[in-house]
Amino acid sequence: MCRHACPVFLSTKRDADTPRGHALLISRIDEGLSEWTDDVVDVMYRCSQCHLCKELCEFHWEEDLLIQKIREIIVKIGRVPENVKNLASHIIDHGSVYNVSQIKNLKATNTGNSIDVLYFAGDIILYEYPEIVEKTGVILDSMDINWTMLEKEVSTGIELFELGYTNEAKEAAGNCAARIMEIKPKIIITGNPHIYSAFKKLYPQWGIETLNDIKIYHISEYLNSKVREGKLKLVQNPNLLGIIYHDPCQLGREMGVYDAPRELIKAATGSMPLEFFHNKREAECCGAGSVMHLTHPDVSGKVAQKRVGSALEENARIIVTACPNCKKVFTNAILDMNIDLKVMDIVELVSLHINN
Amino acid sequence: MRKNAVSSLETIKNELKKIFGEENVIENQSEIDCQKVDVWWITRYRMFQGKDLPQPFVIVFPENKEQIIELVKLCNLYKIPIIPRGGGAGDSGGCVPINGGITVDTKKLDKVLKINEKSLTVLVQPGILQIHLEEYLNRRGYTMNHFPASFHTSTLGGFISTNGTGIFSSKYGKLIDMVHQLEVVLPNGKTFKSLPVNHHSTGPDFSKLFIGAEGTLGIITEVLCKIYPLPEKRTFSSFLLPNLRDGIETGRKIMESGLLPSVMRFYDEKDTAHILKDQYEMEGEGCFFMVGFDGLKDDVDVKSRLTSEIIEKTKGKKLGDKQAWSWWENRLKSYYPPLDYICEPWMTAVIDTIAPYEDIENIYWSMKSAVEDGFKKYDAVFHAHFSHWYDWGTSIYPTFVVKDFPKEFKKAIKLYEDIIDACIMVAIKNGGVVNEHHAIGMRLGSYMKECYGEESFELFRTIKKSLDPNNIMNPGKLGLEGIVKNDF
Repeated sequence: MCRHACPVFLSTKRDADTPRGHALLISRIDEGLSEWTDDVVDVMYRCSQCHLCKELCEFHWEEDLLIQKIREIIVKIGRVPENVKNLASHIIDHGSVYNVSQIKNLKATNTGNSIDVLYFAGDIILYEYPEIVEKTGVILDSMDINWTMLEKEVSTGIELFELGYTNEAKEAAGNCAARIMEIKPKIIITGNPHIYSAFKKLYPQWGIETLNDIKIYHISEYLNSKVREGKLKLVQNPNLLGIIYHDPCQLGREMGVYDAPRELIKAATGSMPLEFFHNKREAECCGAGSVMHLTHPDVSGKVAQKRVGSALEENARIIVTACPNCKKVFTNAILDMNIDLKVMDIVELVSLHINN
Repeated sequence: MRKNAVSSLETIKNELKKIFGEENVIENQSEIDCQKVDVWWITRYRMFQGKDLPQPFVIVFPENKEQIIELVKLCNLYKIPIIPRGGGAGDSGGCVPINGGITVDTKKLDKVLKINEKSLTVLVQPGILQIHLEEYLNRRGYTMNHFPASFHTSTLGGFISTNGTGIFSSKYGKLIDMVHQLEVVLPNGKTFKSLPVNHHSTGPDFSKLFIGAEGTLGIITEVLCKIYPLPEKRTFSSFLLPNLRDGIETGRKIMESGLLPSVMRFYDEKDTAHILKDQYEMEGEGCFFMVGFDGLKDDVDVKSRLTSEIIEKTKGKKLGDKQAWSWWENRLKSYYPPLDYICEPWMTAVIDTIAPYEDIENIYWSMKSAVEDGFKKYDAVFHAHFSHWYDWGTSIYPTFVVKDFPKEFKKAIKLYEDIIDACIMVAIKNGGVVNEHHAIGMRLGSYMKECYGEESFELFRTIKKSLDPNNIMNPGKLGLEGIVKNDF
């Protein structure tokens, strides 16, 4: 029944919020015994699509596909909850969940020369954490990387896809890929695992082949490879104690990247990070998957607090993550819990240690 | 609904919100739909037949004992049923709100309060999922040694309320052997706390009253459980025995010798054929027998050797360790398959039965015949294993399955009742005792009187009436109100 693993269930304790609950409610509708109500539709969006249930299911029940298809049906029959609809409309109209007029890229586009590396930040980093863009730039510049950003980033389509707007997501993806191909970089790096999995996994599935010849890396993979090559030299600071690494669902379970962030932490601090009791493929979600922090901030907040609580159980003092969504909800959770714990993006940690 | 009834319902909901807070009083139909079914064939069959199921008018999530006391007072005032619920994985309707009322979901009472590493106990709230309690203990080098099939989904309180049994019961016992102390809010609103040890001579041990009571005598709010250090070594070995009789006799000899295997499982020919072919891709005739030990390495090694000698003397053929280890590692795969919840289920039930050794084989054959000969026209299938052993007897874990049952609802229900009745009556007649550790609930309540006899069962009714004069606490269960029909 997988309820023991579902981070949403563990926060709400409601049976409807479990894979079994979803299957039961949907099967009743499918059999014609029940109807799409506002209540049921809302339940189907109270899932962060973290896929932990599938990972731990003895039968590998494909809950991720179920939720994805259900949301597509909800969009198709026009029963999308108002909060989700407003969010999707904003993304479709503005290319972002944020107020894009306030977003400024920090690196000018240089289309005149051939570009090695395109850094795709994604709107949450651009809007919420411009300092991560800045620090990424400092790290890349320290290695004399020929890099740039899009003059104006557009929606990758990933949030629309997660909300069930698959057609609109594919359209946004095509547009995004076209913008990237105006630059024709050799490599794309991003610090947002949702964007990473979209470029690397979803775009090929959606028939978008234009990025096929471009190497795509999460920034932790890219920087770790540079450390291994000896191009990125980090000054170890063993006094940075109590770091615990949180595996973002999209980077870990979805894309299988577990080691690179840990090795980077070791390169920066001299020792491997502390581990959550449930880590790597068993890591619990931060609560921000599937933009649940925007559609259901109350539920998302509780999920984040549980994960922060798990970090405290390991005597952690700093949670390092490799996803801005995780950073956002952990930061809010720590404020709500009024505890002394820091959250850092992996880029922020690396930038503290570069030898320049 | 009449206007004054609606207004009193609203009054009650408002009172509940004052007690539990808005967030912990759930009226969403989605949640009610998920909570009104359990794993009982009847609730799942009814659901996919489009038949109404009884449902609570509201679900509450208590976070402390005081809230439960207030709830009980309120429900006595308005004479409203209270249905305590843990994981909802019982197979007998134990948490079905047959008369409506308020479901009390205990899963927010999920804190581990204290671990005592000297006396090897853990103080815990009852709504914790067993896997989470076990993880907490494992991290500190301990285990509760309770590994039932619903380990991932059921709560400790649910196990206590059904006197549940895990796969290591032959060594570590049932829940009744694992609980040192219980705190219970009684149906009269008072709190009972048993003595903080699990053996004493201070009058009757009243904690036993609530173990297996299925929420009819109160709601458990705190438990002191026995724990064990994690074992130094664990072994599993598998054998083939010529037939059922030799298998039972082998198990008896192992238990008689005091070897105390942590697990001993023995399957009838039908189950064996299925296991060998489907799980191990093997050919072979006879009965699959599996035994495992845990504890200190030297102890495990000696006991494993002595056990193998006993099995060889009873013509057992060793298959190796691989199959038994595979069972241990994959043991939860055959339970709670997702498809069981999204389509009409086959007609099925477990009718666990326990008896002394002199009766158990005869009970097995009688039950098998009652199902397969008695219901031949429906191709009813009976299969069983023996998995909980004592030095005086053992339990049969039989399951019947009917894939092609009547389409007409009432006829299907009648067939279901008839098979269970035939099975249980023949077991009781031959010296067996109903032993449904997944819950007696509504499914088997009417057999309580058959098991105890009218006069003895009256004691339970007297206790119930004394503690719960308004019959608010989980009504309709354990046969306290006579026969509850399955076509409710």
